[in-house]
Amino acid sequence: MRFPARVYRGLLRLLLPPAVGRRDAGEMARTLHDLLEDAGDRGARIRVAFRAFRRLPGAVVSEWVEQFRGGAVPGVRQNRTGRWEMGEWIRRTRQGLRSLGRSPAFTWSSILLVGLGVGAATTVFTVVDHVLLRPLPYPEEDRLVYMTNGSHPGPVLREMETLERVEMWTAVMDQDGNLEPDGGDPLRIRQAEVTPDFFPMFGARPALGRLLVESDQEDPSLTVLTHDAWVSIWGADPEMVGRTIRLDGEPLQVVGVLDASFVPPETLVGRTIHLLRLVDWGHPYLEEPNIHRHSVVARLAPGVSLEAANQELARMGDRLDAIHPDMLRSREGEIQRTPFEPLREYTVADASRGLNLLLGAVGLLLLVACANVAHLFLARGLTRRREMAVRQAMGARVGSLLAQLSVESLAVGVGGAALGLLLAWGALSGFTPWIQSTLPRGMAVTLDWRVLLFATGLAVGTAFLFGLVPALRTLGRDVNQGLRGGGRGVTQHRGVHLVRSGLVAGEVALSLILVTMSGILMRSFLEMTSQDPGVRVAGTWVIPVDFPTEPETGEYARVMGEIQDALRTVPGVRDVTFGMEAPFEWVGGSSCCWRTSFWVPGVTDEGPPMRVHAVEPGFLDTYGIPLVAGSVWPRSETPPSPLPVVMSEGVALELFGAPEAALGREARMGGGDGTALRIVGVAADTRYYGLDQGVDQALYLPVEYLPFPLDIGTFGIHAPGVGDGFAQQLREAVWQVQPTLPLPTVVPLASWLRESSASRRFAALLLVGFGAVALLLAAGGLYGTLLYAVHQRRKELGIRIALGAGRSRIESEVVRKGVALAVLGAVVGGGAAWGLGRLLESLVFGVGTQDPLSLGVAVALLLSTAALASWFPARRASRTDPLETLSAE
Amino acid sequence: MTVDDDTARHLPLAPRDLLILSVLAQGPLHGYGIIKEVETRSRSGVLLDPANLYRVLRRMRELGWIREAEGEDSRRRTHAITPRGKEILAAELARLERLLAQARPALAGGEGG
Repeated sequence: MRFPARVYRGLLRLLLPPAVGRRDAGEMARTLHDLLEDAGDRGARIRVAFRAFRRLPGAVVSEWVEQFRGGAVPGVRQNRTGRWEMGEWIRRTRQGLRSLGRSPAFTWSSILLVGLGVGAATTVFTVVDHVLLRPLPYPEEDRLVYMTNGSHPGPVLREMETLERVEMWTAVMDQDGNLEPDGGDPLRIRQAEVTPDFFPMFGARPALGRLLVESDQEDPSLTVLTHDAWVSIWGADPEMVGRTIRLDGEPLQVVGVLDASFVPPETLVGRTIHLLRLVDWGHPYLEEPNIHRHSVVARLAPGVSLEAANQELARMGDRLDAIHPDMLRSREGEIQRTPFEPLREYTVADASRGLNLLLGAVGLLLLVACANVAHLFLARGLTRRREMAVRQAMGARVGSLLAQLSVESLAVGVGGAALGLLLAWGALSGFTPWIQSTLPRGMAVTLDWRVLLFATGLAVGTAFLFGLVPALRTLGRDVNQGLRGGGRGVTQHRGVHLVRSGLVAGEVALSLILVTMSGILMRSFLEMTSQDPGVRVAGTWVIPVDFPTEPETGEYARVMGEIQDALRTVPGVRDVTFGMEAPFEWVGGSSCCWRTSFWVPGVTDEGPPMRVHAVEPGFLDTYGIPLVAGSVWPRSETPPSPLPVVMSEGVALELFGAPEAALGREARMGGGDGTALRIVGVAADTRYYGLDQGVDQALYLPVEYLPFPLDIGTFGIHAPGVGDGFAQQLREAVWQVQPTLPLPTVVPLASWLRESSASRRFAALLLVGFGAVALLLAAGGLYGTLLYAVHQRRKELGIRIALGAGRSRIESEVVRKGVALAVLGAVVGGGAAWGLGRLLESLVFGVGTQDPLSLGVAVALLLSTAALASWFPARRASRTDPLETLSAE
Repeated sequence: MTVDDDTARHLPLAPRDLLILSVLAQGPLHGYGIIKEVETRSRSGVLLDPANLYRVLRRMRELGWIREAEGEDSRRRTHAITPRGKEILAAELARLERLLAQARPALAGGEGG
């Protein structure tokens, strides 16, 4: 053979699809050889060779394309220019849809399954995406860091300027305020005190007027309103800029209104903020090293690592410590470091664990749903084997049948995606209030195109992976096998049965994990709510108040006493008390509360950390907190010294051995030279800061003798058995003596208690829901698989029954098979649940993460469900009529 | 001549297919022969190369329009047209004739027939 022809052959063998290359490459090369031989001269030969080689790539590509499309099929036609006929795909789609329409049970079940799974996954993914994954809506947000340990004193703030690795920083403090709008009742609003860099750091822009700048620090009465406040309180008044408003009795001048796009950094200022002012550097609080009021957020200089910035911060801490020795030191005498943490992490930290767990749980659920989709497709594929075999015999290529099945899977996928999106939209709308109140960054959660893409991709991917791929197994390569339907078809059935059994075992395992976890969370919730609050909750109402202007020290007690008397006149009220705060007002106890150290000379140099409750004498009695020793301090005109205090039982036992032994002892609060105290009583323990927070180590002291002015307080009202309208009666009673005091919250104490366990309850219920659905799906999968197996073996069963086999024996055999499958799944799932229990660590209460009770109950539940699901197929098996099955073939 | 659905689906034939079928209608040929004949007939308008030719031949074979036949030269495969192939060819030629019958008078300026 001529040389070019040999090269031609080699290339063809290399590049063409193997089957084609083997068969035709030689022939193609021989033809080229003949053409070359025939060519007259060198020039003609070159032309011939050139033409052949030039067209070789195109030919190779066309071969591969045809290979992929399953070869030339009647109806797949390349027109002159070689493009596909779109009409073919339309025909195929119609055919596929019609085929789906003929089996509505299959179609709707699979769409439903895909839809449920995708809907749940999409909902959770949307929430996770908005809360955890998306960056905060601020410029250079990856460089924003938060200075840990809550708030910081003035001297620290002043020193922030010396940090070079920090490009920009701001101090923020938020608090309530009482607004007096022209006409109308006083309004409780939220205000923030910030430094000028706050605005550029958080991307604030003015919609009206201007922002506050450095030079405005001369005049602390200037303020900027947020867009929402401007719209909701002042009705979007276009003349807002320059107006004067009254806040807490002070006149403030509005210099601007923020643009609606501003998103307040919620860990610093909460979700709703109405107006902003600048920090008044002349305020005496800012000179005090022991008064911590402001949070700090900074933006790292470009290229600076967190470690480097924290090193510089540590050096700053050392410098400050030299000037103010006690400011930054902990009780043990060490300098307390407050390193920077990325703002985003700080914002979402609490939610991330729960959300990640939820994501995992919904993923498991989706897998279970997918397994059921696979079951459905497998069953359907098997029943259509004959149809497929016939079509193959009539000349349809595997590729064409594949295309057909693809269209069907795609249709199910698209249908499932549509259903899933609908469900997700409904779930998100329904859950929006809960999401917004419980999760950080919850305001922004909506469906958007990313979610759409996610859902559609997930649904179509599911339908393809779990639908098409298993069904491919049923497209026999041997056409005869398919046509016959029996004989070696049994092997294929057995193969499919194995796959289905595997799927069922997998589903059972996954369900077990979900059910076990839900059991653990449920138990945590129940444990929590069964804790004794230590406080009388039933029939108790609470009213937090916040005075517009700080009363003088003596005035506070008088005014509060006045309100107390007024409240006592309301019918149904047994007693009224007040304190700086009430039990369960602050739940969690991490970012609140007056903490102090408790020094008892002679017993301990460094007492346990205590929480201080400044209360009036009747507090313990009204809230039903019993005294186990001593009594509450008597009312006295002059401040007694040492200050009389009541301590909680647990600490008293720890320090003094017995409650009585604590009486009369002297102690100090806040340091060896702190306020002198004398213990006059010991009260029973309570769970003041939440049922899952452990016992409160409390120090109750007289509110009337506090050394600093107070403008807040909470009333506690013992009024069992009152009816509707009680809250309004209470309000009116207060307004008799204090007409301008805003009273936004008047609620039963029980509602605060319920709120404190709300998220646990929600999580538990959600997991229970998932677990139940997964269990049902697994049962359904088991049911279907067993039923199908029984159907396949009906001939054998018929023979056995005809030969006298007992029906109950056959029944029990089937049930045993089903339960055995469940046991297999349970073993795998149980092991996984045991190992994965660790993931729940931060969410459990009063229960271990490896809880035998939950696991045991889950296993029992699963096995009994499996037995139940096996029952019907078992009965079917035993009811097989030998005459029918044997004469059918 | 009435054409059934299945045939009509393949019309109009690509010029290359038309030429190959008409060449084979005259008698079986091997690859080289087909190329040379087509070249001659189309006056070098359609030029085939071996790789593409065999792809087309294979497609026609799968469609049932041609088949492999016994040839004198055992080293080279011979291709022959089938009755089905003749049907297709006839249908295409009929279509072309109809087209010509309509187009010619139009070109001559008279009314279409």
